[in-house]
Amino acid sequence: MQLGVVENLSFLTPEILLTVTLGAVIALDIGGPKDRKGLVARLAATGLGATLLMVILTYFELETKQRARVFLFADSFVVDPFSMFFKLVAGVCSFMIALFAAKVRRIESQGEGEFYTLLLVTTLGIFLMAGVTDLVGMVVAIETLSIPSYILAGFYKRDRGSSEASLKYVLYGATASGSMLFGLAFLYGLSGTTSFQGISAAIASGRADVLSISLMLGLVLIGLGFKISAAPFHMWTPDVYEGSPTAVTAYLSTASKAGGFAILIRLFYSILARPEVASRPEGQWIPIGDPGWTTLVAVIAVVTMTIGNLAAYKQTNVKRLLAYSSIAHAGYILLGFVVMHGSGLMAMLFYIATYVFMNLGAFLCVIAVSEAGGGEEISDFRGLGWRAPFLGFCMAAFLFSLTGLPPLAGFVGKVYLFAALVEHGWVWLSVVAALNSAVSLYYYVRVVKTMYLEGIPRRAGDVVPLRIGSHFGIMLFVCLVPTILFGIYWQPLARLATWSVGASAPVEARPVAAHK
Amino acid sequence: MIAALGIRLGDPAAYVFLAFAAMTCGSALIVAASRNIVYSAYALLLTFFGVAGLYAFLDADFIAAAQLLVYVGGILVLILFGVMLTHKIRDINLSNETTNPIIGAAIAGFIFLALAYVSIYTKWDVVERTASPTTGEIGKAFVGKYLLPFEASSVLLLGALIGAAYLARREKEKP
Repeated sequence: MQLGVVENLSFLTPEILLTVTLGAVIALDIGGPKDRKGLVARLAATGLGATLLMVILTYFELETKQRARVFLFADSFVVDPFSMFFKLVAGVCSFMIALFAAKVRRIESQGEGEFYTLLLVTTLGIFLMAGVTDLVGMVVAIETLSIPSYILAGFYKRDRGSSEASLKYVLYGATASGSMLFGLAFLYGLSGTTSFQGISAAIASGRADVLSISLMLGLVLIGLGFKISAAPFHMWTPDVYEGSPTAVTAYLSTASKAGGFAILIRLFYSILARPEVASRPEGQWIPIGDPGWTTLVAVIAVVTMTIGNLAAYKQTNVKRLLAYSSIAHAGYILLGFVVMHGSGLMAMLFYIATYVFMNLGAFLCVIAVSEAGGGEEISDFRGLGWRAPFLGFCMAAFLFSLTGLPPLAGFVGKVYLFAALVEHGWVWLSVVAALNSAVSLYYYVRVVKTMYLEGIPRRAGDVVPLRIGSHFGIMLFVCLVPTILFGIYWQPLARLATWSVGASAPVEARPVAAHK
Repeated sequence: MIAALGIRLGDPAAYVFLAFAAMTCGSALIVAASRNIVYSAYALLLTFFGVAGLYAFLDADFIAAAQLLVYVGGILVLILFGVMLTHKIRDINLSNETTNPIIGAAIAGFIFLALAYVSIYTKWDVVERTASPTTGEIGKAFVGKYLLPFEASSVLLLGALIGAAYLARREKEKP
């Protein structure tokens, strides 16, 4: 369906609403009343909530039209259930982060206005990343996410760790972006067009040999692998995650990563693969050109999760531990990528949706503890299960879910991933992944053990309660519900993920416009 | 070797190209290798200028002019200001130190070979066009196909501006 510019706008309501909120936040920050404690945060959260609502409405609109896929701006942007799924996930993350950050005193004292402005800009970047089908849009969207993220990482200006995080992030990020642009320039030179479709046609035509295409895509993969912190481009993750303000870390490990996966799937499944039956993207996919890239991604996935899990062992800082855990999870999610079947993509989407809740929850616990006067080291969590029973319970649930234990959401996500692997002949990969999850149990349980089995109060009167406040309590509960619910009653989410994959064939049965 | 790169000797344009390419690569080498950061900054001038020349060589008139105005005229001057205003710039020898030159050279050499391989052995989509102003086409692309990235980049620039102002401004007094 091709629309003019004005009709386009109705499908871009979420993006427009985000931009309007952005403007309103800036206006309020500059011209608002002096005594406006928390007003900016509330405005930003309201705007994000409204955006989320619009995402859901657009989602429904697409569903009622039965697999409608709307191409905008001369096919350079697509509104389809696949992109809406990622917008939903990213929107939920941003909304939650906006609510978390509202109660973080240091962000408030350093400049709420700037924090929420930058947060909204990054959210817009992720929304665009989910929908672009064109190299130019892709680069702009990725930078719209990246550049404000660099600043957010260094948001605590006087804090050495935060400044170090920002500097490392920007240096690694610039290198990764540069490599990616080199690869994209080659792809453009090969095909003479910036659209994913045209590049796909150029690759299929065999004008470049396999090695050249691998090198081009390898360069692109550096940039995207950096975004999702896949090995060997993960080196920045622990330092940046540890040094950044925890709310920003939570954001980087969830929304930002989801955006990276969205563009990764869209790009590779648009230019290097097509559904066997064009109308059934939920079925088998066949590679265009050389199929070797799936093996490459499989190796990257294995290395990523193994490095993440092994390095997490020695960590003494909770944020650093969660950073390595998030590297490992990037590896798990990549598993679905190699299957070349709709079920693998569906498993990725399902896993990402459940992963963001448990990861947000775990970071929220860290925020709540440090706002209540605790620290970020594992030793600071001693006896936490007794001092703050609800927080301890939630943290344990999130960590067990990250491990993949039933009856929690992480378990169902892993089952979908492993099942997709086994069904399509990647048994060795699922064995490696299962071993990895078993290994990861050790370091997750270590935190739980510290919370419950160390610093046990001798008498009931000895307990020094850690008051986390009702705000964080409610937020923890909001993260806890999906973590448990999707472990018991996951079918609705699974249906949503399947439908989002099924209706998202990135390759449109439409002749590629001649570019000469 | 030269012929493999598609350069026709005897064509005067080839020598202009080689001159620009040599200028770009040579000065880029100085940027990377010079111990003195002021020299590096000045060598960057030639790099940017050489790239602008390459753009002009490709009949990309607008980009060439923009490269000169934005990079040479704007960004480079800012870099020079930054270098000059940094306190005791001559004392900071470490700022430009080379570490692990062998590993670095090996990686750079590998990347060079890979890129060279791709450049030589790919059948590029070559467009023959005569020199004509490109501004009209660029303008149409901005309000047509690339409208969304164009608008998004303005939001991005706004965010970058606010972030830069935030990082640069004096810390608010703690209440």
